[in-house]
Amino acid sequence: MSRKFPKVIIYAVLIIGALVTLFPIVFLLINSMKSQTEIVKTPLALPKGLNLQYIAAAIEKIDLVPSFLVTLLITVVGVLLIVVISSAVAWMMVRYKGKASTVLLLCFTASMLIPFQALMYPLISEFDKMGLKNVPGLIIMYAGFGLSMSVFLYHGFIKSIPKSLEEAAIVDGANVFQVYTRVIMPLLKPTTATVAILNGMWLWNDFMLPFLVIGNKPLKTLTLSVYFAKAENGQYGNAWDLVFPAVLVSIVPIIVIFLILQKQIMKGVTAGAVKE
Amino acid sequence: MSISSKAKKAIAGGAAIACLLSVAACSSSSSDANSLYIFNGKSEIGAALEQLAQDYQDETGVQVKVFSAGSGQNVTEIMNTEMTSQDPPVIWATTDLLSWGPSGGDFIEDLSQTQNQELKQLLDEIPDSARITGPDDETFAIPITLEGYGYIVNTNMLRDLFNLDDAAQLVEDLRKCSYDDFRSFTDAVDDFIKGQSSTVTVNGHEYTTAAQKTDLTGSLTGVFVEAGAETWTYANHMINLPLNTVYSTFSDAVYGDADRIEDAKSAIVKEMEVVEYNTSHAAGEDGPNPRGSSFVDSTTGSYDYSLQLFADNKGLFYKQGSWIYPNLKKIGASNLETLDIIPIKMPFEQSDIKVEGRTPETFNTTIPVMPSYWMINKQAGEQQKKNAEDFIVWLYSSERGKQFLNDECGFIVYNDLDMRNENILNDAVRYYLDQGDTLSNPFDAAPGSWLVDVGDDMKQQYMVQAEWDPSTYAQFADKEIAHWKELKASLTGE
Amino acid sequence: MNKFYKKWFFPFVIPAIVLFGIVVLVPFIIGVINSFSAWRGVYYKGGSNAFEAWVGLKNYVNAIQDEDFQHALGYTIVFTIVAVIAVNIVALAQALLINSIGHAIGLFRATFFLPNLLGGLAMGYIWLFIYENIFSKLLFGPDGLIPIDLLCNMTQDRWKNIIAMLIITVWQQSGYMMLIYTTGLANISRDYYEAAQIDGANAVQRFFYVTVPMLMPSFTIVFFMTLSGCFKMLDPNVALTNGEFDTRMLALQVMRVPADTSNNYGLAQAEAVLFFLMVAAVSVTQVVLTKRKEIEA
Repeated sequence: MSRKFPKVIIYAVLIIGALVTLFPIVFLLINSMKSQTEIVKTPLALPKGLNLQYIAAAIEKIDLVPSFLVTLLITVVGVLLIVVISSAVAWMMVRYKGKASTVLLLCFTASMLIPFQALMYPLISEFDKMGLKNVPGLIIMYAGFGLSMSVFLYHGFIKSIPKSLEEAAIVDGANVFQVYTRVIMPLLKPTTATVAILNGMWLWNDFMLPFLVIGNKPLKTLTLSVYFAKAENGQYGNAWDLVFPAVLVSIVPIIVIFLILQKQIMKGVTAGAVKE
Repeated sequence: MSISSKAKKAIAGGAAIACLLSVAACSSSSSDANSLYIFNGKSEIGAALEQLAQDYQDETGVQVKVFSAGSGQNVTEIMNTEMTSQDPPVIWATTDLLSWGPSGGDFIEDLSQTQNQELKQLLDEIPDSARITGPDDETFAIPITLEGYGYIVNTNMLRDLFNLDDAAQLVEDLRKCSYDDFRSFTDAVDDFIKGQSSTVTVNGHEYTTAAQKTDLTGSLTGVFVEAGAETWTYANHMINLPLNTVYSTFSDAVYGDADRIEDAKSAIVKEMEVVEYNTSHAAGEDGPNPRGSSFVDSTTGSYDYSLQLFADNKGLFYKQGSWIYPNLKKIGASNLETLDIIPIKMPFEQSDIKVEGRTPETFNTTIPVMPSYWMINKQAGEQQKKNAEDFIVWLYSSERGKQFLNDECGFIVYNDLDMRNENILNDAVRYYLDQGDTLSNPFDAAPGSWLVDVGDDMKQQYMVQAEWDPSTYAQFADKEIAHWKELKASLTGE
Repeated sequence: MNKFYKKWFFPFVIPAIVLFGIVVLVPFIIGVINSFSAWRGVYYKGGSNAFEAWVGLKNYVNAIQDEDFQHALGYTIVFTIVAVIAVNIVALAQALLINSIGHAIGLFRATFFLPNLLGGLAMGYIWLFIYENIFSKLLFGPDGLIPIDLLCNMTQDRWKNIIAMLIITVWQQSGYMMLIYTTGLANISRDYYEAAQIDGANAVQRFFYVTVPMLMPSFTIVFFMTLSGCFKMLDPNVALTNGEFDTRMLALQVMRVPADTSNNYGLAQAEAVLFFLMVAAVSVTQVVLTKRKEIEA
């Protein structure tokens, strides 16, 4: 009995917590179907029916489909580059016990602390000189920035994998690429999931780097589209009847992906960070 | 195993897409000489400018690239990265003459040295108040529009308030009257809103407020419409008036002696009195909009909200500029046809004014008129600079160019004031231009973060306070004056 | 076998080194060099490169004397301390509470984690609206449900804005940290609790003498992530106040220097380098301290 009673309280606390957590998202949803006046005057009221005109206007304003595709392209290619390059370097850094490995680990770890603001201007002008102030350049920048944390995660994980499997494969005559693709990568799956999800979330939502590289070119990422839609429509104020639906539209893909893959994502974000 | 082969395919695919994209990016780049790159800071004309560029390209074969940066503080970052790029903008604009002009990076072409006779002609026609000159009399820019600001008023509201057949005479009197007349006028309007009728004399004519409220006048909840969250509405535009007592033009404020700002102290104190009056008579949705937290919050104090209040006739005067017409139209304001602009009256005395030729009457009978303008990047290639000059000449001489400026953008074309468009507020600006010298825009020359800091100080120390202590105005003026000098010194004293 | 790895070491690390070099190292070094010069973003004042426009430590002296920078530093420190504590408490509470129930575990975890996936800038705008219209008027305003002045007009006051940013930070980060704690809790063997119970430890004692020490590795990770995350925070700061009312944090301060000073990028870069040194010092100290605690435990 004494154990039953607190459980009710625990459930109550958690349910209240969950409702509070979901409130901004629900709030966003209901206000995406209301006019500016309705939003400002009765923010908590439900919309008068299923009114999709503001959402439709926002989709048009932020060029949803091309923005979505280019954001997806940047995210997928960027994450792939990060995964392949950082797992390869981390593997070698763990296995080859030389000074170079130590120095590299130090460099990567220390660079995790560099704030983006400390290098953004030199970075942009350097890439411009290389003719890479464009989407491919943006992907390369992400790959470079994502490297440090990913190497750090892979490095920590590979340390805990015994060498014996690789050694057996090498003795069997496998070449280095076969060892990497058939032995190492499958073992690294949990960390790869972590690296992919953490970097994917960052690339998808990032604002500052696309802002500096792409700016207001016709084809831009979702976050940028929302920003410019807001900047151009409420020149100085907030056109809430555009901001709400535009933000909603930009987060729907993430929520859909999360609903489909929630188990994998939630396991993924911690698997690499915490050794089980 | 499965991951790796998928990964390989994906990488190959990704690389292919990346290559395609970079090829596409290269082919569309305009680094070849026969091109023109325009960096547009007025995002609202972005779409029309794209179309114009396309038409110009079809007509002349010159490739024109347009970049519209949006608005807000981040524009600086975009412009800077564009200016350092391999293919920098050729037509652009800045208000920061010290950094970009001859004393700094030397990025601004002196247009007066042009070989293009038609461009020379265009330069000669720029009115003095809109001319942007360098320290050695260079001409730095060509205005693409002239904008003016003051108290925007719905003349039908004036008519109903005073039971007139026609508000023309009253408008004329308000344009000409003194500060004291204007103050008794606004007091009378305030009384009317509170339900009392009274008689005032404006510029020698008597006016009596109507005994009964009509549908229109009944909607008034305050004399002024204010946007408390937007610091630029009370910092930039209001402090520009005291700045006009010491600096005659924008260029004068850029290159003139920084110590002259000290003479603006008494004018700043008087400006604060005016701001106090206006913000304490502000209109709200269902009644007065008193200063305090909700006065400055980003919803009820926003620019958009204030536009709506004015469109709904909640206030008589709206301190804004001719640029608001398209925005009012967009929200379906019903008072579009009857708008006019009245000067922002200031209780200045002759001793407050240091600019030769300006008197208290100047301030009370005209409005500040300022240009939006284009510059040519001095460090662009010769061919590109020539393309830029040709384009500007074409813009002002061709039918298509004029159609763009006048009809599509709703601009005032500075060398052809007779051209008319639907923006009725432009007519008001033209009226003041026709009357002679207007006030200028020295506030655009404020160093670094000065305007933002002034705005923050006003917001944080005053706009959130229900009551202001007039004895603090002098202190406020001293602080901002010292800040101006300090920022100015840090810019020039390297 | 070492020969094998030695042979393949360079081919495997070269892509990473090249990438790291062009994206991080070279721009960072150029940035540090520029911080010693009169760099104006687009040009160097008084020369054609950083060395001709060298000003020595001048930018650093100006940065340290810059009142805005000092204010931003103090503000960032206060916020970081409060936020790290709050995120940890909420995350741990969520983990413990969810662990103690039998139903809908996945649902609660997913709900608390969800905000972590959403962009900080976009959601910051939504929160601003909620603070101004729901908090300040309907809920906690003078005519609201429960008048609480502290939760009204939070974005118009230097210190109240800390609460405003805190709510967003806890909302966004605690779910993720909860997952890390959950994994940590799952790793604690039941044997320890049983042993403690036999020794007569009550629930509170079991928490402090078994759970807390055994969670130390998770603490280290969560602390590292929240600490550097909060110290470098930018998006909610931009969305809520954009630095008005003296609420700039360091990241925003560094970004606004060029606009404040008519393009004094040399000064901005000097502030950025100082910012980096502080982030590094804080993180290194923190990792060293928790590692020591972890070993002791």
